[in-house]
Amino acid sequence: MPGSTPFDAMTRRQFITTVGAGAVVSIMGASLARTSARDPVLRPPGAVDEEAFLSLCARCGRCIPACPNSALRLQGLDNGLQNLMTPKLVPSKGYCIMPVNGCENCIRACPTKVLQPISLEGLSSNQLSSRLKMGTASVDTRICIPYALKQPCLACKEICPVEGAITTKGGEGQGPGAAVRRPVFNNEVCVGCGACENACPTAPKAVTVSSKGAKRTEWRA
Amino acid sequence: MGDSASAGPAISRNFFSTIKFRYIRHIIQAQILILVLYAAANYSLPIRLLWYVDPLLSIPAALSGAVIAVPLLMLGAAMLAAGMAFGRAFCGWICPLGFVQDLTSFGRKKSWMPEASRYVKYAILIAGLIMPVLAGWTFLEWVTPMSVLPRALGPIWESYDSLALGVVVFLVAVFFAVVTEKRAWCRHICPLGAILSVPASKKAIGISVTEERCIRCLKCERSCTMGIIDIKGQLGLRWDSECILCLACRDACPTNAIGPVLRP
Repeated sequence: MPGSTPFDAMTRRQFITTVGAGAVVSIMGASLARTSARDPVLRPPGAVDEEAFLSLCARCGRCIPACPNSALRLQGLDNGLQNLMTPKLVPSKGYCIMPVNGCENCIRACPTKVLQPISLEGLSSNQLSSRLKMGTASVDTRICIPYALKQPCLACKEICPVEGAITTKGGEGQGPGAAVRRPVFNNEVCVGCGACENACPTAPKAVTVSSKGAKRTEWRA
Repeated sequence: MGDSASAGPAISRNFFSTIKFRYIRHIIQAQILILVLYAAANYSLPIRLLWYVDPLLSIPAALSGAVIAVPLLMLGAAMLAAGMAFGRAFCGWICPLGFVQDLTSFGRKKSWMPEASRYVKYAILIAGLIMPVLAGWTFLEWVTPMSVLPRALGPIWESYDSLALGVVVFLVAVFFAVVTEKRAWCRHICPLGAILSVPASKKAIGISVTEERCIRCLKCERSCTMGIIDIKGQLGLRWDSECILCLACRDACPTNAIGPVLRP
């Protein structure tokens, strides 16, 4: 029969059930979404602002295998339903090498452009955070080896690709304990690539990267 | 199909009638599947279009008030306009998840799922359009057919600790098709198929049966990918807007009685 649709064959009862089920599911989901809203997680580089990201991210996971440093993971339910299957930068697994060599594989792999291209041309290392800022690293001085144990460790500073993001203090005095240089994190210079957290030898990590201070761009086709 | 009136009950054999559309269709589907799975970080516009034309990406995003993505909305509207012409032909000829189901449920002939469960996909669609308005978030991307495949294969390429639900959704889609019926995901779950079958109810090209030629062998009923042909009852398609124009019925018909026609 030309032009026959499923709704022609539908009984009133089936119609009410279909529309009603849709409405009930959406109301239940809406209440779940309200309770599960969290702070934004650490996103891949070039992520658009969080609202646009959550609604336009296709949850296709293309960015995951695109990353040469295995830094990205799809999220499970741990950050709420809204974040389900969206990508997250997990520094303890790998870090973003965009500040090192300008890698933009995840950005090129993204089919819906919720990861927007970033041009790092002509920027010196300590200016990167003006265009690329995924988050900010911070140190827990109760765990960090030079702070807590007064033993030398600058693993984070050694691997940090951004000049001036991690500086040191101490190391000028004499005697035991006084000579240890301690890392200091400069929030404005840091791009949040996660290299420092990846290199941090303590467990749990003394250096952690959060999405605080992330610069998110506007969505463009 | 043009000579159907004069040909009468005689079986006409011309070159066109000997083409098996199944092979043409599977070649197109396979190429798109390869493009979707292509792992190198090379994502030029033609394959990105697969996601851009998905109206279920841009419409909920606009409804939630998060972002009005004008180019995506226009391409989504173009997709629905194409639905006015070809109905759900996207599902039959392009969709990569549909191709995987075509491959995994090859020999299956008879369906035992209740017909009414086809309304489930409309319930999912309705929920996916109300939820952005109520709560400002979207969930239809979880089951977007273009996303299901790469999401499931990403963890295999890279690491297993993000395996989680992405693989589960994919396996549900495939096993559903394997254990129940052909294209079970497309019949019962896919919200993209649901929104495409709305303009498909007014489509320009559809399947119809020539009564004089039909010998009631029911080969088309058994071959139908979507299980919607009803020859004994109404000599046509029971759920016409569900038709994905895969032309399996035309391939199967021994007398060229069934095939696509341009509707007035």
